[in-house]
Amino acid sequence: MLIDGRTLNEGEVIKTDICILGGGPAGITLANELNGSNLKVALLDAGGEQYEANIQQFYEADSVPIFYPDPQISRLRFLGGASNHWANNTSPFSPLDFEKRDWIANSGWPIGYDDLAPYYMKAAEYCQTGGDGYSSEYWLPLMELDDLMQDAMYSQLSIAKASLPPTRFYVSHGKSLVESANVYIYKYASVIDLEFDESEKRIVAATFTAYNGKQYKVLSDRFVLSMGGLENARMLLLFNEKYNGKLGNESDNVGRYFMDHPTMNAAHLISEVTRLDSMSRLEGQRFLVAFFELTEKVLREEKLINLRMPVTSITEYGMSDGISSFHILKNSLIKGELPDYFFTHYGNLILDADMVIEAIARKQFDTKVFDSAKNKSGYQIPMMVEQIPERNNRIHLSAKKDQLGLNKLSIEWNVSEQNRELMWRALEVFARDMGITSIGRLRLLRERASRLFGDQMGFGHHHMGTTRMSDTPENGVVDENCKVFGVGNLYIAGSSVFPTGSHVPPTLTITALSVRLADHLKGTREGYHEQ
Amino acid sequence: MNSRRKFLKLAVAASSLPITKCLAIESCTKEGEINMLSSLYKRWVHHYGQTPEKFIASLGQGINDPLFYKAKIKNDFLIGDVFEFGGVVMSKTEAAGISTLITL
Ligand SMILES: Cc1cc2nc3c(=O)[nH]c(=O)nc-3n(C[C@H](O)[C@H](O)[C@H](O)COP(=O)(O)OP(=O)(O)OC[C@H]3O[C@@H](n4cnc5c(N)ncnc54)[C@H](O)[C@@H]3O)c2cc1C
Repeated sequence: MLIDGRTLNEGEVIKTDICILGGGPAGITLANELNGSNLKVALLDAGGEQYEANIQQFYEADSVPIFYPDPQISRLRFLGGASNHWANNTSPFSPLDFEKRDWIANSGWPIGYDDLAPYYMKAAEYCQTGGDGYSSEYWLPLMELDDLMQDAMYSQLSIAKASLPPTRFYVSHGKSLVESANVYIYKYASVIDLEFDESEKRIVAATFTAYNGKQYKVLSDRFVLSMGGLENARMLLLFNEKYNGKLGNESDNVGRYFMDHPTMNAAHLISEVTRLDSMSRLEGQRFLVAFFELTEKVLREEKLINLRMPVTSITEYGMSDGISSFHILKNSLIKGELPDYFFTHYGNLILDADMVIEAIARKQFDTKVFDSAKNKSGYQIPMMVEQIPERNNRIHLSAKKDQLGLNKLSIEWNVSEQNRELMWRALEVFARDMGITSIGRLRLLRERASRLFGDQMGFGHHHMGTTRMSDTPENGVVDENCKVFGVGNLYIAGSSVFPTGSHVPPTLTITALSVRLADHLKGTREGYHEQ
Repeated sequence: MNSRRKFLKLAVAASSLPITKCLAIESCTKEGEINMLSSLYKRWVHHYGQTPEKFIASLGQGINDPLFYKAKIKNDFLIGDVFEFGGVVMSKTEAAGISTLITL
């Protein structure tokens, strides 16, 4: 059933078994898994069924680091959440992603790959990427890529899949909920508070508003926070202010270890192996992408982070280092400074003068630009970088408040020196494999380093780590079942529970975790007396 | 002299890769490209403490065989004997071969 929060009577109290707070991929998957069970479920979402600017504004942050994407734009505050504009690029995490790696501080999940593996198949159904898995043994021969890396020592090809058009979780999986006998969706239901019982061990109620000055309560046996990687932490921080850190924050972990996936073109692959062009292809309603990554063996031996490296064919225009160097020189010289690698940039500019002039004159000489764009010139590697979990990368509460009286979000985030160095070292190792396999040579764009981690940095918009999963409350916010430490009946769904974020987009794993959480909630229902 | 020329041509031709293009040394007539080669040559000497010619000579006659040359390059990558120039990660042998084009 779908209920508009604005139509409820002031002070109305909803009673339910499970209350899901947030209707993005995490919440919608969970609700679907509970659909048809003997549990009464309420799913509250802050938005309606489509984008509305006056509701989206509640996603405004107070402060965001320079170059970091504005969370008012990257997130979407209506049913389906950010899946209403995601790219649907999916693949599972690898076993090593879950392990404690002694060269990566704060790594290690309390669950292993085998705990999640059974749920990936179902997760792929929700992401609509097909039931045929992600195994490279299966896909590479079909893509005629199986022998491309047969001599490789350090890297391998793996598979990512996306459904086309991308799956909007509410559009694709909302109907079954609207028609459900046991799931009630409340739209325009923006959660503003949680209430403890007298023992301060269990949540008894969630309070929401429909932006009309009125407040409503949901009394429930169990609650699941699924508002996305930033908002889960923001809300938990708000509730913790009221309850002195008792909601999983006794060790000040809520909001910390915030991770994203920086994306960048840090290397060119110089190659004439035309088969690289078939590393991505359309297959019916799906898009298949083979991408390079380092093997588990070399990651362990060389103590590296992993990189997700698809390749895209580029043109001379796209490959121009001169254009990049032109920007670096211009920006520095305007400030009266000389940039690092001055002579390399100067050399790039001279060697690439034609391209630079074309770019400057782009508006007048469009056709000329397109002419040079036809000359193929190797491959770009729009890679996604694994980010190390760092305690000081964090979201916290600003003193400024939104119109509901809730403190706004502030974000502190950067990519540490160690992370950058590990990225370059990973690329050096990959470069050797390109030579060993005779696929080509890698040109590392080191002279761009300052911009790669500055204005040329892209983002996955994958908000991870802010309510991390751990064995102990000292090191995390939720336990292996995604239950908040110190609270008997509050759970978290979404990538905020990831202790490490891999080099893989998160949503398939978010969905798998939601399916697993549903099993847990259903399994513990009978004789349920959690502390 | 003859065999050195033969080798240098091989260095360009047998390399299955457009590496020379990447280093902008398709032709050695332009000044900038000569500078690039000369810089590669000097950096190589500085790094390995001998001349590329001497190194190539030390590899014996087999180096004139394209298959041997390619195998040597592959082995360099395998054992990590790589040389980075202008960001391009090359094998020691291939960088030596290309740098000697300056004297062609
Ligand atoms: C441009 C872009 C491209 C992306 N591409 C990919 C990709 O290719 N592959 C991939 O794996 N991931 C991708 N992602 C990330 C992906 O969209 C997220 O991982 C996913 O949407 C997270 O799901 P979620 O349910 O945890 O959170 P969200 O999608 O953020 O959903 C949160 C929900 O909670 C609701 N909510 C928020 N606050 C409240 C409140 N106070 N009360 C009630 N409800 C509330 C919101 O309205 C929303 O519906 C992309 C993201 C962006 C922005």
